[in-house]
Amino acid sequence: MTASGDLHRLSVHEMAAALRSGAVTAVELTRQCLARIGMLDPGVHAFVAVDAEEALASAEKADRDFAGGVDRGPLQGVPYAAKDNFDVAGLRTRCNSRLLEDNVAQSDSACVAAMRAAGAVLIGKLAMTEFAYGGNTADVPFPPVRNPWHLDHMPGGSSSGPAAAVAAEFVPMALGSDTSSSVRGPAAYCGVVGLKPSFGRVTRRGVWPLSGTLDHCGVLTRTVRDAALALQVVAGFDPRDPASAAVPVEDYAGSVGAGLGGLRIAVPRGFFANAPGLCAHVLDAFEGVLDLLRRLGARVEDIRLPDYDLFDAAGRIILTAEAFALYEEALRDHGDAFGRDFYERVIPGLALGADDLVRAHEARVHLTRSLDEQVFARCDAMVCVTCLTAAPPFVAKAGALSINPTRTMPFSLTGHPALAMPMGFSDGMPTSLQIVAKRFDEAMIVRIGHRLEGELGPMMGARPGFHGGRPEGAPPAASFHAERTEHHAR
Amino acid sequence: MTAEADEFERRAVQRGICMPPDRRAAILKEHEALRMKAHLVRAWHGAGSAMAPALNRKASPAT
Repeated sequence: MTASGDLHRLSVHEMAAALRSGAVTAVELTRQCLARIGMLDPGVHAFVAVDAEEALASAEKADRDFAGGVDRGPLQGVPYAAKDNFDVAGLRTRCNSRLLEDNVAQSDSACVAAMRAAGAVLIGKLAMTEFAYGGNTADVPFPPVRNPWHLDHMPGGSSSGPAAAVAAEFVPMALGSDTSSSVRGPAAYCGVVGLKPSFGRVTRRGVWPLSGTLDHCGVLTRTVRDAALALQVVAGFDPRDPASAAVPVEDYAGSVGAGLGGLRIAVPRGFFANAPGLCAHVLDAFEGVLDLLRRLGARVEDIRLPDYDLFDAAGRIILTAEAFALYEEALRDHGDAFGRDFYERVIPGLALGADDLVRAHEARVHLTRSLDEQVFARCDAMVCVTCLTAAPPFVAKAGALSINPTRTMPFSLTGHPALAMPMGFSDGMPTSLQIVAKRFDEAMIVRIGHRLEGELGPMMGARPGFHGGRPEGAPPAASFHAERTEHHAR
Repeated sequence: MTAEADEFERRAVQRGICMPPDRRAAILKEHEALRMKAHLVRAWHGAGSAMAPALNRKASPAT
């Protein structure tokens, strides 16, 4: 157990144990989170709203429940935060858009409701890029999130706030959404664990949409076991999300601890090995992971898949077409209210025809089948890099987020579960491994990820140092503070 | 200005979408990138997809 001043360093799993042993109370954990956010977040900008009053009330309730013998599971009394596209009753859902300045949610999103029922303590709402597809330009309501490992470096997007908040030890877990990379990319850049479950595994009800057939909800944590604990709470069938799948939920936390002996792990080298811009440190770290998998008894084998570019093209066409269809009216009537990055990325959707979309969906079927038949018919999992590089510095364009060199789109397109986890460093910035499994076999990626983490150490045994200073073009750190208490008619 | 860009701007105007001068170049660049992706998928569909009708395959010079 750490000293009381270091409670923020505990994992979800450790907090759960400490709460049950009586070593700490939920109120103490919550106060520690709030204090740390107050002290450090003005330089990181992970939070857009902190609901201290409600958080402390939830924590007090959790403590009363413990005292009364009521135990709702491992998240009871544990602090977390949600990306600002998840509805929370009484709080604004703003998606970093000027159009949603007064958008107060009337009810909880299904994931937040599940977390509430599990006794988790919501600290506040987390920053994101505009509607989960913009950049960190200066023409959106909130300033760019900084990467806690180095404040001059990008945090990734769109779940920039969730990844930064977890890495900075403001909260041990966060809810995020992932349409093409938005949980895994930021998790990779910020050196944390990001789990995008299978399509249909976690309900999107009450989460602001971007692309109906690609949007996933996921979790970000500092350990793989914590990701399993969080997923356990939000996974399940929801008849009010048309994409939700009525597939039984496995015991994810129970799958940690199993060995890797005899597992067959596929490596799609064609996805990244010859890609322009692949960082040598990323490749070295990845080869180290493959050696580790072999030492742990797994059989590692290279496999061939269709070109990465085909996955990416089909995914981008579907994403852009669906986003344009969703936002066309607002883009037409309130174009000036959008930040330039979102506007510039979505408007091209108007030129896509029905034939383009049909072909992209046919490619999607083909590519999904390729993964199922060429990989998962004979292998238990697949590993590749999450990003070709570590987080780059902010570019000169006033803090804009350039396109990430992620390798995440294929599994958004096919709906296979994928987990990003730290695997090394490049010049002090984290690099990330991606583990993929059969659809609805999240237990397998948790099993593999946890075993690797046991060898590598959570977050590679390191902690962010908040190095660096103000990115060029970004507003000074002191110019923005998340609203400390935002509570509308709940 | 290519014919493609002209056609894109014409469609944008038709749908009431504004092309602000300071965003125009970036939008056209994104449009071109997306058009290339659509071309790639179209090429795959014509050349190798089992779902492409036989008629399309016969029409392809490659076959």
